Amino acid sequence: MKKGNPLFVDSTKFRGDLIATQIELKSVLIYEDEALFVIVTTHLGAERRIQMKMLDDKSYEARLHLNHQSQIGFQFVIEKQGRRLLQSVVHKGQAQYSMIENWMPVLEDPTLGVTGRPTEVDSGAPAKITDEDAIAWARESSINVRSLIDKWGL
Amino acid sequence: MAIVSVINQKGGVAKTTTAVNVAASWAKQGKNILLIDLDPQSSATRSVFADREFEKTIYDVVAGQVPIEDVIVHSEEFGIDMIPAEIMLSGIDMQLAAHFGREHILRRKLEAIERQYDSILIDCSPSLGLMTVNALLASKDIIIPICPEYFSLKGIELILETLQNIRAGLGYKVDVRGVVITRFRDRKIVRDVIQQVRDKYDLRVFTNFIPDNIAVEEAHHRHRPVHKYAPNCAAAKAYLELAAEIW
Repeated sequence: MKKGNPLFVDSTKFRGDLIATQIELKSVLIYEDEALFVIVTTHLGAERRIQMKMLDDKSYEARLHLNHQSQIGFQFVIEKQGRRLLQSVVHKGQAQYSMIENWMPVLEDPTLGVTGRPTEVDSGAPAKITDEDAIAWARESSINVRSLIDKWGL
Repeated sequence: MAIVSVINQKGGVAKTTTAVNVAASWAKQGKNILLIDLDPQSSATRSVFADREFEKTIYDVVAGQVPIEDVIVHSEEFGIDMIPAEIMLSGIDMQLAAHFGREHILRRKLEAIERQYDSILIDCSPSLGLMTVNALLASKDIIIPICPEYFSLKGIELILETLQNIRAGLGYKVDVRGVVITRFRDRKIVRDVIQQVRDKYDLRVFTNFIPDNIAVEEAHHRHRPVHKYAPNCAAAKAYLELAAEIW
């Protein structure tokens, strides 16, 4: 009874017929200044980016027309002022009437923190230098001085 | 008019008993009811008509051999119209596998008669096949009987997965009208299971539980609705109240 079960393939639609697909994302929390997008890659490689609308408290939806049973990829992205904050893996599947996924962010952007939220950086605060930083700086400086002495015979 | 399927993919949960007695209870309350037996085991047909043989059944309708009006039979005892089933129904999936619109056959057939009834109740097969999918696509919503003492929650998960697959693959949304508790015995584990159905699956559980009562089985074997066989027993009253609650 999994996704490939022919019992759940619409026999009135041939492969490739256009159908209205509803993509849903569940268990996701979006703040007021954030926006949720789904990026759909069709079987022809064309990319469509659609802003998702709230369905209920923690569910969002987007609707688009796709070719029945064609192979597609789709990825959910949370953005804030045009900057990507969080993203899901690229889900793959055959286009059908509804495609429902649970929100599961992944960390691919190194600027994202451990929790998946971007690390807050206060640009006005002075940089904090740790002992490890100082030792590493001194070691690097000494190597540089040594290399100059070797090079120029000072 | 609403078409309602009674379904649980796990057997032994009093599914047919519930379908037959709810249909009879609605009829007693003055409703015009059609009960369709869609189970090749024909339990609902046997429950209502005993060993009576039928020349034409739902199989002939789905196979396109007779109009649906020709297979409707009336039961005076139950006060309902019924479409009987037969064992041939078990092979219908193979026959219709390549049929265009195979999953909408029952829905299209019912369009011819649905205005004659206040409600149509479908007793589904416990196995998931083309006829069960047909029943679900013909239905506005479903009723899930469970017997909590035997922990039939697995059956609920299977049904919810089936409903999700139907929505995804066939674009049709079926709602769960509620869960019927059958063979109820007031024990802690039973209460826990019922609470779990409410909490985990967020499903409505009908408040009129059907108590575990021998009169239900006896009525089934005597081909009578329980409210006629043993009108004063707790199960008979529970079925009548449940029917009103479901309606």
